[in-house]
Amino acid sequence: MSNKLFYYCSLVILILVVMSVSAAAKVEFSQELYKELAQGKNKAPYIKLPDYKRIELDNKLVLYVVEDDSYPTVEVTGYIEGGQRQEKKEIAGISKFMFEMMNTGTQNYGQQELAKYKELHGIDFGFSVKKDYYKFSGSALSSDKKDLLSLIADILQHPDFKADYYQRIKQETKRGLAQAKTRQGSLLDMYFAKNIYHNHPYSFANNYDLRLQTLANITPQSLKQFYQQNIAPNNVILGVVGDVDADKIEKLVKDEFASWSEKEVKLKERQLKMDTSPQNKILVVNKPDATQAKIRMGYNFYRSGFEDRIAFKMANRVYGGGSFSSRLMKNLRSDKGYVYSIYSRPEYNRWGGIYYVNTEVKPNRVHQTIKAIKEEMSAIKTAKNKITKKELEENINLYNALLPKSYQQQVDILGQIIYNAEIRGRQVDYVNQFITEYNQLTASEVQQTFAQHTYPQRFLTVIVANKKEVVPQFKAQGIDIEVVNPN
Amino acid sequence: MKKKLKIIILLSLLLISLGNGATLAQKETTSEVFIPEINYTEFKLDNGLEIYVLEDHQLPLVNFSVWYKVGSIDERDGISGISHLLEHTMFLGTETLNKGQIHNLVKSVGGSNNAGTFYDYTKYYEELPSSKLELAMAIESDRMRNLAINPQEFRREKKVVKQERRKRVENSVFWSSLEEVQSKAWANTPLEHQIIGWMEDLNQIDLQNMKDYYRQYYAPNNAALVVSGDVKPQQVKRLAQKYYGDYQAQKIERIQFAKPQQKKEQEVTVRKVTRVPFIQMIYPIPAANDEDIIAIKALMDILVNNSSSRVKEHLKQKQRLILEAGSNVQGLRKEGFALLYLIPTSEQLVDRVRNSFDHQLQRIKRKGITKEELEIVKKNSLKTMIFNQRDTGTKANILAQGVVRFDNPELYKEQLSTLKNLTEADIVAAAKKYFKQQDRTIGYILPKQIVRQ
Repeated sequence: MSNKLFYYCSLVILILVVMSVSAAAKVEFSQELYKELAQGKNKAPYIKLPDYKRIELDNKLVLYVVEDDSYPTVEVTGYIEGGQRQEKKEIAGISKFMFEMMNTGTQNYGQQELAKYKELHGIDFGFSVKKDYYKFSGSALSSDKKDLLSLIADILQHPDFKADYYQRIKQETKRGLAQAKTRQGSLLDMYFAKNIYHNHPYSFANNYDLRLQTLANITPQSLKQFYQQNIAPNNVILGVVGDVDADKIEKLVKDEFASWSEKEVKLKERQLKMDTSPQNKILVVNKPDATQAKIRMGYNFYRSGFEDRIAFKMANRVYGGGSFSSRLMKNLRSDKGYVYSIYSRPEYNRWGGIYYVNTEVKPNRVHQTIKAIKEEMSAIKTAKNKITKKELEENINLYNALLPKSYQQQVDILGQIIYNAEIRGRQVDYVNQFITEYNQLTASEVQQTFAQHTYPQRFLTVIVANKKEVVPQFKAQGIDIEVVNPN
Repeated sequence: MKKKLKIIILLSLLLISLGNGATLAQKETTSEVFIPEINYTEFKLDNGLEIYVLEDHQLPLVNFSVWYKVGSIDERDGISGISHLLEHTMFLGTETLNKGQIHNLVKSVGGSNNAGTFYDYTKYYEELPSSKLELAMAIESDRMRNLAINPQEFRREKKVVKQERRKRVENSVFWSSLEEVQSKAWANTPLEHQIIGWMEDLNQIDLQNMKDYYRQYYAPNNAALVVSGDVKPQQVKRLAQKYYGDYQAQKIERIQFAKPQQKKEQEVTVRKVTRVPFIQMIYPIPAANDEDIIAIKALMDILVNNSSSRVKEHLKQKQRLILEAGSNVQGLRKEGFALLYLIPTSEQLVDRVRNSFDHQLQRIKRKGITKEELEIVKKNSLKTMIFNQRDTGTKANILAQGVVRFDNPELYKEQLSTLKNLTEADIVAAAKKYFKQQDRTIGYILPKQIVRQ
């Protein structure tokens, strides 16, 4: 070995020894270390939309297809315009009943046959009822894609409302509704919905008293009529994504759905009156066996097109929508230890939205909790404790990092494309507009938006708890409350 | 479509007539194409800390998780719920980090974090931009050894946990009843209580208990790091060495327990504010790595979980005796339990429902299951595996559970192999071995105002 080579080898060994020693050296944890490790800002992401094919069949059924052969899977995401707003009071709850019937059997398949068909093909399929639309989704391995689409076609076109399982589903619904009235969460949903939406169809799904009454009106005839009035190809948007050939899917869908005739569907326009009175109503729903108080505070809010919704979204994250770092969480959990969870949320619907705060506390902390929720809101609204630049930037930084994860699966992106373009009438790439907009927000804009659109004096407060533990707190403060004893 | 179903049934019958070999041959051909492989890199530090890395460079994100091999089954009498309480306490700060700073640091870089406690492990995680991996590594390393518990903050956090108990257990008919049924089934063992523990124990646990428990179990040789996302194994290895290499391994002592001997069925009746009754049944089962676990899960699907299951077809669809039924297999690092529930349509039907359930179970034991039922189990398991494969986080969790319970990252593969070769006879054997009436604890949860005859 030459001297030169010996020298280099020794040097390399020495460097490796030093490196290994330093690698195993004890780390000195300090604020400076953490400050250094936490530096940096995330760039605004761009969500790449997949290439999709949009086809409108002769009967106006709209089909979207995305080819993605990453895995041997296929997924379906679909929308049917309508939703809860299509229901009348006398048949409240009919949408959910109708879809349960449709997904249990068809004119071609009895309930056991359909269950077996799905499971033999590894098919999952289900409907959900939203306020302004119905949604369906399904999945299978791509080897079963034809079976999945064939099944969906059959379920949508050939329901059997006279089938023998009608009585069973009715009996199960009745027992389920009665049981809901024993649950704290369901009672909260019901009394909040009744008092915030009054008799608007948006209240029906959670109004278990009403649905128990109207169950008698949900008959094979009324189901068939509701189906005929609401479910039609011209009202359906079907999205297919996965290991598929778009042309073949188009042909398959045409084969399965072409004979389904177009018909008129009247989408109901039911304006929800926005109650702007400073009601501050407090309703205690008595549940003597409850060991906690479940609380929801809210008021009527804006419709789907609310122009400040992005700024308000960011403001709400600071107030109560941002999990551990929201002000409500810091105040009521990290500082006071009253709650396990608390969140605030805006909900926008076509005919009127709501803004609400949800939490649960030990019964003797109800009044203090409600007071703190209002005080935190007022502190921002009155600029006593403004939304800071740091708070906004942290939320923007978080969205920039994690938002792309929500769009990692192609079915999620396709679902958003369809929702934005077909249901909300937005641009197809709304998500990228959203990203641009929230990145341009300033703290003062967000502060101003929250100040303008929050109303601590308007809260309708519903508390489900043992009244004996809760009522005295309000009496001691001279606050009027209403007490309800559910039957 | 109806025609297709007929063809499938005919094919199934044909397969039955060809015998087991033909069925398996067909499944093997299908399965070989799809059986997923989890690609990972593993290494171990001298102090026993195991590290697993699953690369996925689709997004510039990393999920960093620390899995401690400690959970509620490690809790001695009188300190139930301490594993979960410690999980909460771990967010209160270290000798360097202040209260709230862990959340704030993670959020400041655009990340999120949380933790969860189970019967036999506790998991902490950070999901953040991959460029901030070192921050997560530093936080978790710091709180593995340098937790600082402020007495006042500890008292406040205990209130939060007690409120969580009210929310999750006390105000749920199902969970508060299960608490009673489970305490009968596993009396005088750490499995007698829920993960969150008894309220009286939560009241009594003090700061010293917390410190002792933390020192006893939070050590490098009792943990595994699972890192998934946009990272390189060498980078993780270098950082793990830097942040954990200096920590010393320690002796981990656990309490030992076994299911109490039971000679006949145990019964618990609970009165609750409910309009519908519930029946809950607990059967002891072996540890999650026992090869019978796959047969037990298949049995549960065939008996109660699937829409076409025996119980749903006969008791729900045909006889209209129940509103719902289901099961959950709690496979743990040692013997666990299968929980089954039935919701009869009325209190008057409770005995009939139990008898009908027993009849369906007996039918499986006596007459076996059909090839079609086995086919459904395999098809749906395969589908689940393939869909799981699409998400690196899910894959990381599957791998981590094998590691944290049995030091076996390949457990999922062994279980897939068992599933592939599963036969009708295996399922019947599992039914006979583990689902005996004498081993069962049955709970009747009845409406408060009516007395069951």
